[in-house]
Amino acid sequence: MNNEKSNIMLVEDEIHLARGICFNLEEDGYRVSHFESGEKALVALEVEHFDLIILDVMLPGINGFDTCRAIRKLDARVPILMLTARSEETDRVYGLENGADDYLTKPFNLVEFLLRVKGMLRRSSWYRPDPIEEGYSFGNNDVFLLSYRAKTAQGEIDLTEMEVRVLSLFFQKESEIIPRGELLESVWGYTNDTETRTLDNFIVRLRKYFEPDSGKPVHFQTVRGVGYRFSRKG
Amino acid sequence: MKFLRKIFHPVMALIAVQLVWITLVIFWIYWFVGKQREFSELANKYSPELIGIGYNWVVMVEGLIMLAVILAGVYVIFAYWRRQSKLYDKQRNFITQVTHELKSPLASIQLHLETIRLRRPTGDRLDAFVGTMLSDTDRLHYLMNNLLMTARLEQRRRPAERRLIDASTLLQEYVERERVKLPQGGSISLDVEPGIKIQVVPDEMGIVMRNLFENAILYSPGSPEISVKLVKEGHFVRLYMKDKGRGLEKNELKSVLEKFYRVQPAGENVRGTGLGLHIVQTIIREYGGSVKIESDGVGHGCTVVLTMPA
Repeated sequence: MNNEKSNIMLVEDEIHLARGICFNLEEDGYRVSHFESGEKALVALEVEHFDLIILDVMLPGINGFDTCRAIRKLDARVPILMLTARSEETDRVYGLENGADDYLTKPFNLVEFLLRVKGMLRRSSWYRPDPIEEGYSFGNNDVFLLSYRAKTAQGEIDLTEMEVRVLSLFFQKESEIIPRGELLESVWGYTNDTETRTLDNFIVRLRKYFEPDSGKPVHFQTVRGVGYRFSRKG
Repeated sequence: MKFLRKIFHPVMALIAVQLVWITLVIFWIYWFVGKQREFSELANKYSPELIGIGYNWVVMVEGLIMLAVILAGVYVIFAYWRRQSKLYDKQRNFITQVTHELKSPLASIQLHLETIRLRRPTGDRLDAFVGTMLSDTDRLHYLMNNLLMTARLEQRRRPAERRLIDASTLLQEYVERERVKLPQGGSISLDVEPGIKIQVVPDEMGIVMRNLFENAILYSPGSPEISVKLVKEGHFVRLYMKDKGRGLEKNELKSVLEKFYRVQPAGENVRGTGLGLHIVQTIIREYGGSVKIESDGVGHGCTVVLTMPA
């Protein structure tokens, strides 16, 4: 494991929850900075680098979704884990659309929370055994994994850490069916697939970036009941 | 899609129906008058005695009145529907809000219990966790009380049994308890005339006080400064509770007492259910008193005045 401590930012206004989360993360050997509002977090983010951001949705001042969008402007890569008390599907999709990489619904299970934090903090190089060509092109897109950029039909975009992980797995296993469990395991670090819709919403986001018609995907195809398949030609 | 939804919005639909209605009526009158003229010309030509008295006009006026009545009816139904749909929106919002309010302390309790199981802390650390959880259960208790109280106040037929209590002592005790829980830097100043007695249900008075403090603290950004004053003025007992929080706009002064109404400052997110002041007002009114909110506008804090018969 890498020697330096991972630096985690926690944005949460419920002081009790924040104290509990900080304690647990510190016990696991992470360095945690706690901020009570999105505004304070954004100020800190301008001068400090964080390896992971844990973000609550219901915040005083600007809410978690807006904070998330603002964070993405400052740091396009950093993995963001959203915490939400609302479990409605639209909220989850909205969070992932605004740049979050995963979410947990309050009240959450501590072990699962720590597992996800661990999964999101794994360095991207670990699961990229073979060097992949820098510019990977399919359809009207060119993806540059090492520099976290992509040229799409809609223009140039920055990719997040998690997006790069998903894409690199898809590129490695081009035209193969990748089961949901494998995707979750190697990208997010957990296999418990019963509750989460993270993966599906994540694919929706990728389709929006790269598909000519995101309603009729040709590159990122769903294999019903199994998982997903990436195909370069479409 | 947005354009289509706009067209089918009930208000737009109502306006459109009115326009169609007016055009039809105009055509109808035009046609009626035309036929009338034709008929009188014909009658003039062949048998002038056919034109008797103009009963036809009565028929037209009657028709118009009937249409006007229908129109008025539609308006009334529309107005009621608007009120209903607004209430429905408020209630749905309320449910999401309550869910969130209940989930936060619950999430904290679960987190701390799981932490204890996973880390097995000892001594001070364990005490701190237990303390946190207890204040979370206290918070849940308060929320439940508010929800139950709202339901009880609505269904109650006969007033609960009241007792004559010493309001001065009760208030002093309550403020001391509240002082401990105050956020850092906050302060409560107390000015109580001794020996004031009122007829109340002690539990209900507790809920009233809790709600007033909750509001004063929640709507004070930073550290709350609260001053409480209890005086006897003539035949009335008055409780003044003043904070230096965000204050209220003039048009909000009355609305804040409504059920489910919540002050939502732009871009801010204050927790709450919109029940607190509604409960306060319902209880105080049952005692024959009144609630008044005063504020010099946003940024000037506000004062809640409870007036009760002595």
